[in-house]
Amino acid sequence: MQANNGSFTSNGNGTTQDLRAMNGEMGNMSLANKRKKKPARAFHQQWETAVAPPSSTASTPFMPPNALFNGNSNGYGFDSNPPSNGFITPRMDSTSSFQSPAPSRVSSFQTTQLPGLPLFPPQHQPENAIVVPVSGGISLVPAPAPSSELSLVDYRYHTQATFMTPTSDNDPLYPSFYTFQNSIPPTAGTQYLTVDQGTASPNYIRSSMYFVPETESLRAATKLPIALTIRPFAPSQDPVPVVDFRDLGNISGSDPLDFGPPRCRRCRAYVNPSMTFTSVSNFTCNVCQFRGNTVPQEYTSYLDAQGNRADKFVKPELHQGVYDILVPDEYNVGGTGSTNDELHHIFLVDISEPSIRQGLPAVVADSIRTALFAEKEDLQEQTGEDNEPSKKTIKYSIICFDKHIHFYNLSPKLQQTQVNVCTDLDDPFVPFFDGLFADKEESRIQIEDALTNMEQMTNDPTFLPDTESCFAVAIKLASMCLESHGGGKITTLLAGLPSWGPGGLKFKPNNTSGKNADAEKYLFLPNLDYYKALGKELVAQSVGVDLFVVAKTQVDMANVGYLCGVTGGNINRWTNFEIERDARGFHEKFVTSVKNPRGYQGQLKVRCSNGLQVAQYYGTYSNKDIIGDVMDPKVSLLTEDQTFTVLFEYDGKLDTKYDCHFQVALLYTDALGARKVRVINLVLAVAEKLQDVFNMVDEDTVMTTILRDSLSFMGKQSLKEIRESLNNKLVEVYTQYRAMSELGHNITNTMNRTLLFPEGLKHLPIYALAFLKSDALRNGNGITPDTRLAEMFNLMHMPVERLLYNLYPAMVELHSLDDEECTFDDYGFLRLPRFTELSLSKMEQGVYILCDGYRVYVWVDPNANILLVKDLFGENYDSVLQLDPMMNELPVLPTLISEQSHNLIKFFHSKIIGIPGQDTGSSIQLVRPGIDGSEIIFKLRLVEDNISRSLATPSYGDYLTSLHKAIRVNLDSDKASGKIKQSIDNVGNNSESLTQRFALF
Amino acid sequence: MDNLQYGSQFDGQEQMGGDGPLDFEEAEDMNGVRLSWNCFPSTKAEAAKIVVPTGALYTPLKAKEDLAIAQYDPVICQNASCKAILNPYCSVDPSGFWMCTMCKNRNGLPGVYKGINYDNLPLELNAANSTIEYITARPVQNPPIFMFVVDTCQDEDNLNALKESLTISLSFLPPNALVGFIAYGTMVQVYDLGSEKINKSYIFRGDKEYTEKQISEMLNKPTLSPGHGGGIHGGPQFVNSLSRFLLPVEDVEFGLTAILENLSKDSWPVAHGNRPFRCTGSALNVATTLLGSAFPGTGARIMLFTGGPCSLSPGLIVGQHLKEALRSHSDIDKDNSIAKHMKKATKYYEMIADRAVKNSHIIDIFAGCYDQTGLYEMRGMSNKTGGTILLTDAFTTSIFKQSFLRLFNKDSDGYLLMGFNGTLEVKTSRELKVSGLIGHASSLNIKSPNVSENELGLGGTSQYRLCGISPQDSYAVFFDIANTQPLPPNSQCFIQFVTHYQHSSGTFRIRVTTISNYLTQDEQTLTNSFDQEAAAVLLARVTLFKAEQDDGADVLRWVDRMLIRLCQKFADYRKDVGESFRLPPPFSLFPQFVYYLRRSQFLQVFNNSPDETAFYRHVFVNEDTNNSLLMIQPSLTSFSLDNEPEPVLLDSVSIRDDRILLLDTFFHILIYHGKTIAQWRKAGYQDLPDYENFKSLLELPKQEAIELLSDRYPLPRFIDTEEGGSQARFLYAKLNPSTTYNNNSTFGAGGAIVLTDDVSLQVFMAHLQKLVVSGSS
Repeated sequence: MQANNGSFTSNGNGTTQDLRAMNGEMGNMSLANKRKKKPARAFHQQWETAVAPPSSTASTPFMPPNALFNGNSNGYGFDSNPPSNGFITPRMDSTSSFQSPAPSRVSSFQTTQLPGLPLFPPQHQPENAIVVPVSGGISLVPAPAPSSELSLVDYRYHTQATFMTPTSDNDPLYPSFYTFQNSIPPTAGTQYLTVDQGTASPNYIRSSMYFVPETESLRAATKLPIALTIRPFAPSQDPVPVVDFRDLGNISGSDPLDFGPPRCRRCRAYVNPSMTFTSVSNFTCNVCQFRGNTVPQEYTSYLDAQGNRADKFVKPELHQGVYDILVPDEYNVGGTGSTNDELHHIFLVDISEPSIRQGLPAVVADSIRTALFAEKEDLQEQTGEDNEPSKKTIKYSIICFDKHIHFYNLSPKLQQTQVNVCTDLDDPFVPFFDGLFADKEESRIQIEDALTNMEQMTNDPTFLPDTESCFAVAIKLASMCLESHGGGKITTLLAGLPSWGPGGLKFKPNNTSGKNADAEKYLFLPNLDYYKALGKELVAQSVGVDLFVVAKTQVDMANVGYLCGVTGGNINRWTNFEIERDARGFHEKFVTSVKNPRGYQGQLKVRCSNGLQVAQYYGTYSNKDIIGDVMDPKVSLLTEDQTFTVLFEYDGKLDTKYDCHFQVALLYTDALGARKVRVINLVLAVAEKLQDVFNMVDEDTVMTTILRDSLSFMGKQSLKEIRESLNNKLVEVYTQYRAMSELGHNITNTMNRTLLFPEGLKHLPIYALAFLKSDALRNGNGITPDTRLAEMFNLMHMPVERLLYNLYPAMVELHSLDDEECTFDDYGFLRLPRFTELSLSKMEQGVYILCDGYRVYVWVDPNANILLVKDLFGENYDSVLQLDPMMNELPVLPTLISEQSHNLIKFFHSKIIGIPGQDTGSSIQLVRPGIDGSEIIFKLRLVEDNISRSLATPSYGDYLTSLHKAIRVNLDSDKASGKIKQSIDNVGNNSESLTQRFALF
Repeated sequence: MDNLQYGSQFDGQEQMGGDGPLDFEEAEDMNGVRLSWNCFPSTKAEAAKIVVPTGALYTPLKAKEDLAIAQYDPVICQNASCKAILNPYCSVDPSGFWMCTMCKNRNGLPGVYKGINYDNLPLELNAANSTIEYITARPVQNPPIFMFVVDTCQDEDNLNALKESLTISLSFLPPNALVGFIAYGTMVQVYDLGSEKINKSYIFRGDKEYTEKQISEMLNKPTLSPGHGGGIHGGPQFVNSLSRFLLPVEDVEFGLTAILENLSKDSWPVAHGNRPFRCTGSALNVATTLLGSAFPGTGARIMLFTGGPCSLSPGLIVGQHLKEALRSHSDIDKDNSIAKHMKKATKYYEMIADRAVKNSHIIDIFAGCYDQTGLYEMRGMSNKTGGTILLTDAFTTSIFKQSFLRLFNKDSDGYLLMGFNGTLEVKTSRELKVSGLIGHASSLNIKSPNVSENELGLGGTSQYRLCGISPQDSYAVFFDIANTQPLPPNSQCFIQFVTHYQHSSGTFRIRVTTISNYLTQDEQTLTNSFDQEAAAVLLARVTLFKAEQDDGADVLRWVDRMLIRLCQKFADYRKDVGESFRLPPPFSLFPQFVYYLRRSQFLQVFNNSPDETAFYRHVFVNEDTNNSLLMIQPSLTSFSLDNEPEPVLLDSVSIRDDRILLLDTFFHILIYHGKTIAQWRKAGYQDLPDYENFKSLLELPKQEAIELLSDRYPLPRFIDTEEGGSQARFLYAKLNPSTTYNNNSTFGAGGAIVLTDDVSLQVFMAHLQKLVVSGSS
């Protein structure tokens, strides 16, 4: 052990020096390079100052790993392992073997290549496998780039470290992300501070390109989409300001267009910090450049010498990127004269036999009880401050269903609750009025009574449940209940294939998967008119559905899940539910479903500068397919987690004189019934050069867009085609980039030699590979359509960080944690360790915590250090074998590693999985290789490994090899046609060689 | 042959030998039968001339102190098409045979009857037991069933009063009686009383007509049969569970009381200017279907408590907008747009009624609403099933509260005075045929040989279903004389009423009444046998039956014509000499009855709503002779300081300043204080020590009224008024207007002036005389 440790340390020390130097170089080169593009943006006065902090800290990110080895970690590492442990040595070996080529690359790829790779070389990279064309011919050279350059864990660690290192030794402050000065946002999942400079923080909105191509041909040359991913209710460090415009313009009695918030009279954009007030009473719209806008009389203000309004820094809408506007009644769903109800929330619980058998009603009852009564939550705080204290509270209803639909009457007038059973499934109707929805405080007795009843039902051996359930009718009826309240939310439990009554589903055998598109269409698309119509109704009535499926059988997610898909609801699924192990996880997700609604009756409108227009919305289905020709999607239900991806296309040319402005306006009703518009503004620069475009790409958004676009073809094209298209897309993008570099499109740039990846798209291959291996797309008949679809629906609207962590989970090696790591700092940021690459070969015989965006797994190798196991699980365990496989949480123990683990799990739950802090600890699932069946699930998360040879799920290295080959073949074959060359040479030439799938990109 | 005719002690000749009218009431007390003609014309041809149909007003379960009760099954004629029951009129051969009076079939006596003689007669052969009740050995499967169907679209007061009455009524039910509970408003809510842990109910749409299959599927839910929780015999036993909605009151009284307590007004919002959505039609559909599926052919009452008109289809009485008026008689006559729902609704409720009849279930309607609730359309349900209709202004009234509870009156043994699941079979000897029945019954469509071609009322059958039958329920049964050949004098014909029913004690019983009539060719005998009271009631029933189908004016003309023809046949007069007109004593009062019948609310629908008419007619068609007669011609009793209480003419002349009048119209009991009495009362003389007699005078009519009130169902409306009082109009409306503003000199001596254009009895009689003697018809 000593020897090992010693050699490691010394070696580490040796490389650290180089590393620092190289990192410094890297920082200066890559980051500074990026920022040089900024002057193209119109109003960058503070530009210069922004460069300094990140670059000065750029060398620090690599410190912690260093400390990891120097600080001798926590002593759990290899105490029990023989010195000949197979993991260390190869690492060292490969390090040395890669050391020599490194310097040459530094000189070769000055702008983007990162030196210092030798420390973390790719374990699986087959040497000499990647064929890199060099100028003047083709030759085989050792694989250069895809080593640490492509390491996602390094990148994540590095980015995080950037924002957690004090700006200087004197200043304990962390560097902030300045939304106007800085452009490419830190990768999703990073903890960072932001400063809103009038354009929205990346928490709310991310663009695929931060240099928007001037023309379509310029964009087409990148083969990348222009897309925004918007998370309107992202958690933020500062509360979103609320501006009350309900009475503005009311007294003037003039043009109704002037009523309410000041808006551009042409494009109807809302007032925002980029609007130019040209005089006291006039302003120019930043979005459409319309000059003739008048300022409402009550809203006028004097302008200072710079042309800024005197009240600019008083009014949030004049200096902030994100704010809520309270709007007058004209904006209500029913127009003037209508009122908005508070949110109405229905719990819809399956009480058919599969549900009772699994003990679920009791679990649901307990979850509802916790959600409603356990914690004191401050709604006022959740929904932002309200000018007048509202008496309104969220109203709840509890409905059960089997072959019939059972309503609990929760009227506070009753001594106890009453169950009303609706039996008419052909012609469902709302059975009663008073007591259908109840305030949780007023009707607490009745609600408790109903919950007790559900528990009794579960535990009563004489209760004879129905064998089937009428889920579709139950949903329909629930939405009818919500109809008179303007919509709301349904949180529903489904425990088996809902085969009863109208909309009853039949089992679909999974033997057609992968054969042809028609067979998959049957499996993946809703095939029952009942569900299609129901989906349409739900959207039209602003009803959102969160689905909890706990079933050992298929439930026909194509139909069932569709209802969630179209309404932006979450699907949570347990196929092997063990109440002892999984009830906690269920509970957490259920409580979250109750607590997460932020509003409903949403309508999304994205406005953008002239030259662009919206091509497609992802993450919401309320487009032509659902409610006809309404282009602006209706969003039934808004949650903190909801994201939309919006794809843009050119309808003209962007004006390089101006920035490219985007304004997202989400009109919605908050949970307490106040009608608001959430305005999110984004200002981007316009690029004229292809290289600029490539250099200012956000791979997170690019990946999100590609992924969502791919998924939107599920059922329309076969999975095979989708996978091929995805691969082709990657090849195309990189081909273009390389062609650009090779062809010297940008003459001023010296990059005329081979280059694989643009700085901003380094990790696209690993994400793409992970996507190919995801439950949604992975080849193989072993994956049920339900699994694929649940994944698909969730991926369509989950936050970017969850999506990316779902693709490439975070895995933390516990036995080598440093004392400092996994502790919270003064900002509440967790000091994250460097994650472990997702490959079995990178794992040691220790303990790992992995988060895939849905769940947290704790991997305990049977040979793990028993001291670590004792510190984590308790003194009484002498062997890993003694651990309870049904364990659902780590015990709280007075050991550092226990605290660290808890911190880490809590962080994963709250930041990635989206389950806000649970007082009682967070759920985990135990995985012991060779012992627990969950090992298979865990191993599927190790996306850098080849899962199975037969299923074409290559390892990362193999994947890169084939990618490179394809790029080369592409370029070679282009020599004849010259199409790629042409597209690069002449961005004005709109030659299309894209597959049909990415026609829009 | 040594045949003994035990029944022949009845010497009809002796009875008719006297000059005076026969004592019909005595006969009624014995058998519960009043006949319009106590002798029948011997031939069909003669029968055609006597105008008033030969009919009987039969009260099957008439309370009888000395009723013979046989604890065995009756002996039945073995002739398959006869099946008459051994009765005192049968001639019995002690050697083991008896002769059926109806079909003359010779039947063997059961072995146990061997050796009978005069001193040792079985009950049914005892001459006094022409009416006898058998308690059969067949057990009743289920105790009586009560299904409450309660409208919740009512204001709180009304609903609370109703809830209170219902709660009280639970304690009046036999402990083993099964109860079910349905509440309805916009929706139908069927309470699952078997659900112990939680108050559970099933909801049905109010605007949908569910089929029997649907309801059964929706409500049925397999349950573990009790005692098979573990499934010892290989898996759980599933039982049909519809019966869980109807459970013994002793088991569910607590739960049901709680349900009633928690029952609140229908909470669906009602738009301004609208009626609440009330789905009476759907609720009844669910109730009858549920009960029909769970307990077909078992005695059950569906008790509907409605607080307004049904405003949802099916069974829509009136649309939801208040501006849409409820139909009046004139709308119905004109068949205008206001009455547009009437036919459809009537048809719907008839369908419900038919279903209830099929299952032998009773439907009662209790309406507590100032406005109409659609009784007119719904009446068929109670009329056909023998249910009761009670029309009250509100459930808060004592009329409702007391009448409702009176329904649960018990006999001396503590059994409810209500029979269930009954059938009435009318058997006749071959001279007679059954032409029909008018009463709360339904035809069973049994076309036995004694069914007449001529239908009067419900015809074409000799058997009727009486889903509900109470001791006071009376049925008018009409007969045709089938005989065409002259018969020997003193020929007898026989009628046997066989009533099967489920007694609330849990036994099936058979009440058998056998009567015998002489067939005569002698007109005088016929005249003397005329029971004008029964005849008036029977005629009234026929009239009402016609009125249900025909135009009101036509019916009046028909009654007039009947009266004229009767007088022409039986009165003494010389042609065209009015003064010569004399009616024989048995007919003397008949024209007067007809006069009051014509004026009654049964035929004069003006000022009555269709609902009220339906209610009055419903009650009338169910009561016995005396009560019916009271409804036709109310009684008026005078109380004064000088005289004992005495009945006085129902005439305006009876009103005197120094009299207190007590009017009993069956539906109303009214005390009218003459002018002087009223003044004295106002002055408070009754409180002065010296005026005890005045005080007792004031008390007397009240005591009398209380006596009248005591056993009447429905409870009459009690009115205390005086001269000039607004309520006095109820009295004036009934009085014969001898003195009106046109002719106040006719009976100059006293009396009050009745402001009416109606003709007085005197004018009516004068016209009758004139028409009779002039020979017109």
